[in-house]
Amino acid sequence: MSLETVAGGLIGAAYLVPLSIAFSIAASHGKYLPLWIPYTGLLGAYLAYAMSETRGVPAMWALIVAAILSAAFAIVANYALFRGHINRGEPYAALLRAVAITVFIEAALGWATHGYALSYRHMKLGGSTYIPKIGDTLTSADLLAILSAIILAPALALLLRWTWAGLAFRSVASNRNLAREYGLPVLWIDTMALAFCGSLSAVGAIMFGMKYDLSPQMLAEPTMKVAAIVVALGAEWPERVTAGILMIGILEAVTQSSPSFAPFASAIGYVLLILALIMRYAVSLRLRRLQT
Amino acid sequence: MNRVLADIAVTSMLDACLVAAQALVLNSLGIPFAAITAFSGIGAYAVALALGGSWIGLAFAALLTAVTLAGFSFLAPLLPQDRYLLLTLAVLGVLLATAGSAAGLGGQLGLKSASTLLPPQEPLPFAVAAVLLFSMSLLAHALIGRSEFGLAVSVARNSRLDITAKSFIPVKRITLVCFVIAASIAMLAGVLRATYSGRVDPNQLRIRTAIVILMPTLAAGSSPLRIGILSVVFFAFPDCFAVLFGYDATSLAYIREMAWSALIIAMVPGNVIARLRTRIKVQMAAQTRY
Repeated sequence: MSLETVAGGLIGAAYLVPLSIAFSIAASHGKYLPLWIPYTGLLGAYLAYAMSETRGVPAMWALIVAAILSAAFAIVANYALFRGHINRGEPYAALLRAVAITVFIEAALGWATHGYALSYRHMKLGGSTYIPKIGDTLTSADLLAILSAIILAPALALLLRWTWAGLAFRSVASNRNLAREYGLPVLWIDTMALAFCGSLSAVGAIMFGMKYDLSPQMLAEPTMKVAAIVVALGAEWPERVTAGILMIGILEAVTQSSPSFAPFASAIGYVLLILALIMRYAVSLRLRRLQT
Repeated sequence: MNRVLADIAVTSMLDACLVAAQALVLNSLGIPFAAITAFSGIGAYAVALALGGSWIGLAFAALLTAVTLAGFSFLAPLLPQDRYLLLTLAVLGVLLATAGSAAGLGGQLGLKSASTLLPPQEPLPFAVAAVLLFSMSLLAHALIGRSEFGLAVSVARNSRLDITAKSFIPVKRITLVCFVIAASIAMLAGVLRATYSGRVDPNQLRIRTAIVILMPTLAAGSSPLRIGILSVVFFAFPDCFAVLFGYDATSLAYIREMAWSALIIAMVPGNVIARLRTRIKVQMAAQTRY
């Protein structure tokens, strides 16, 4: 395991950090697996492409507008399609709807672009630095992704643990009815949480598109990987989810460095998910036996 | 033209068999299972290995099927529904990666699966076989709907909500039997598809394919007629429309997926169709009363 491999894996995984944080916040808030949240970001990424590449809108404005519209989409979709499931505690029905939304968005974008991949030109950040120690060239987008991985998770952990807003969010996520009875503005907290998730997904998807180009299916595998880590480590801990994503990135890079096992790299997240589910079942069974 | 239509009929019918098989577990038994393509993939690879003379590979495929079946049916009542659905997709992801990385399975290029007995790309014999298999799968639904076993299946479906159901019927055994029937149909469909195309590759194990098959399965319910019509229309529509009217088949496939996913989004909250049907019945009862 060389330093180059580890660094490559970490940089690749850092691009998934905004998406995984958005996913874990939405999962913790709604108590289901919101597979559709990264796809709001995908919509934002395509919107940013349309604005900056075909209409000539400055990159920063395109990014801001995409983030705002993704947030709006997330709020509306949550209010119209998922609120009932969240209130009634129906994670399976919510998951089915989430899957249907991902299929719809993928198909709509595939139809609009004839399934071809698109590449950012105006939105791509300029500048790159060669780092001899890791034997790789870091682009500005790479640095931005690394910075976001370093800053976002600890900042969010602090926000959730040590501020009133974090306490209110945790209360609503834990028991909505009780939070409402205690006078917490549940609807306002829902809106804020989803706006945060939608805009962060848009930023994450745009960054991901800068690295790997835009395609309708580009977030299918990362979404499953993030879902696997959220199930394995718990949605209530975004910092753990971030650490998990980075660890999986390193593991994938190490696996990919061996030619005979390279295609198996994509299965690491799935294996983790299967193990986590079976272990959780075993733990709950043991607890039940101890209780009886 | 006839050859093209026959080709469409074969591929759509084989995909429809997967929908029928999945509906047996998902809709009749109420288990959120989305990895029916895992069994069709195993069947396809098994026949490719058998045609290549690798009997150890065939034995390994049989063992893998048994382990997967046992795992899926054992974990079904124990895990929450959403986690179970994710687990089935994760197993599919692992199978995809294994098929793509194993040198004995041809890696990303796959294996040749052409048979001398049934030459590939000859639609007529495969169309007959596909129609037979599809009829068998619909017959299985019809028999389950009308038999004592079907009654036990519906009780087993309720066992997740009502724990007392477990004292009336052997839920685990019924689950396993349903899984075995569904897996057999899917494996036969996989075998036919592999011999028809003449090549097997890991793409058929993609999660995206499983999710596309999930859409008509959710909409079809467990009525054999509805499964028959909806699944064949779902798979035949883009290619048939493209052949008859000259529109791009890929674009039509995207439109189809948009339409069906929109239908699923509308139907999920408590089954809109069932709710409408109940409302109509209530209204009719009220009218007859007056």
